[in-house]
Amino acid sequence: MSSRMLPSYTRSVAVIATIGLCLGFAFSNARLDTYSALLPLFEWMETTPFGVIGKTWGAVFATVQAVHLLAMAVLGGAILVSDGRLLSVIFTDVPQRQVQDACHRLFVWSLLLSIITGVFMACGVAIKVYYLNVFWYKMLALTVGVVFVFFVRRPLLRHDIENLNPWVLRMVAVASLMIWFSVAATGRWIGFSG
Amino acid sequence: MKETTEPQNTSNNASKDAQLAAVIASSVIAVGFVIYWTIQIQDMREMLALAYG
Amino acid sequence: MNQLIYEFATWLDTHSWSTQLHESFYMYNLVESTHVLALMVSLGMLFLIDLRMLGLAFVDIPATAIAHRLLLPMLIGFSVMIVTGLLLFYAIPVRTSQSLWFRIKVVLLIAAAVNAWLFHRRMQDADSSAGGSWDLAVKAPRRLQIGAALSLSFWVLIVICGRLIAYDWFDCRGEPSTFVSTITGCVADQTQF
Repeated sequence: MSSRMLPSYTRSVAVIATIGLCLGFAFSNARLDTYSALLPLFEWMETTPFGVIGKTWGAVFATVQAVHLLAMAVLGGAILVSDGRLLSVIFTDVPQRQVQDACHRLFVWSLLLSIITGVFMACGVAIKVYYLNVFWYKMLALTVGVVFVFFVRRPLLRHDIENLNPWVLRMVAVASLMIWFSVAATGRWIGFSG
Repeated sequence: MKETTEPQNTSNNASKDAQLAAVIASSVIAVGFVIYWTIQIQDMREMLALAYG
Repeated sequence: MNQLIYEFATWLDTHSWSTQLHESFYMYNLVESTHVLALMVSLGMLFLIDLRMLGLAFVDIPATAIAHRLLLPMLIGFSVMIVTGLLLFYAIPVRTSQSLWFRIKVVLLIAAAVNAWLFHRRMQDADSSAGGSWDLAVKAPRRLQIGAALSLSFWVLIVICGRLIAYDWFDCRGEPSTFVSTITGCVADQTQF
């Protein structure tokens, strides 16, 4: 058997390595060191124009929050339809490719809008969120979600979806719903804390 | 024969890699999700027990 | 009218469940979080339909397929929003009923409901007159596009107003100007806020 015939598991190895690195980071001093090193960044964020506007103009802050919610609604819609199709509960008569590609485009735009408005909001309350555990859980969930979408889910769905194992697709859909629910729910809880 | 099967094999291998990566990542997310929300619910129950007995 | 609304709100406020819900940190926040997160189901689906009609998303998929398939999840989402919304009102009835933003939101909700009803009628008309030939076009007929644009605008404003309810700039307690006081329905010598 030639080496070309052996499957190359580069992506899988990369995923395992990333998980290992994350766990190593979480359970070592590096996490606390990074946390301390980030304080000046958050202090600076409050002094930026975003931070000043967010703190001074309550109406602007609230409107940006509302736009953040609207972006989240579109993001949620795109995710629900996309994962619903992977789970075969919606649009079962429309080809996977059409649904997934359309949802992904919408997902990218709404994610960009959520991140821009999210950064604005974080600048207005930077010191408050710096000391909130739930804020860091949200950032973790968001990072995991984004990495999952662009380095695992999307590359998987670029293959011929109809030929992929349906159980793998179901697992991906459930994990995607779990991670984005966590992003939204922890985000909502930031508002109640502190 | 070799010319027609090789690209197919490469594509099959890439698909297997992508699927395995997806299974690993999805499992880790699911485990993380269960751990996080179990702890949150547990914490909330403890707080409620402290407040109301 | 304002007197009547005030009396109704103060009557709701006398209910012990209303006070309990308002004062329960977890329960109130849980209801509010559900109200906000249900946005992803209700408005998420509605926006996808509207964006399809405007030719901005899902252009490869027939417009009526999008509108019909997403209707059920959208309605489920809206039902959750209505129930949780009513609970939120029930928890803080007096202040909410006299909130300028809440009042604007209710007007916009009625406008959005009328628009949705008209949109559905127009879609049925387009279906029967064009025999579904518009279904595969990138953009829906002009009348439906206007309906979709209006729906998007109404809901953007509704979400903004909903968010602004939390702010007390125009509350009756702050003794606003006569104009604001009239719109928000402040009652002379009111004892509860």
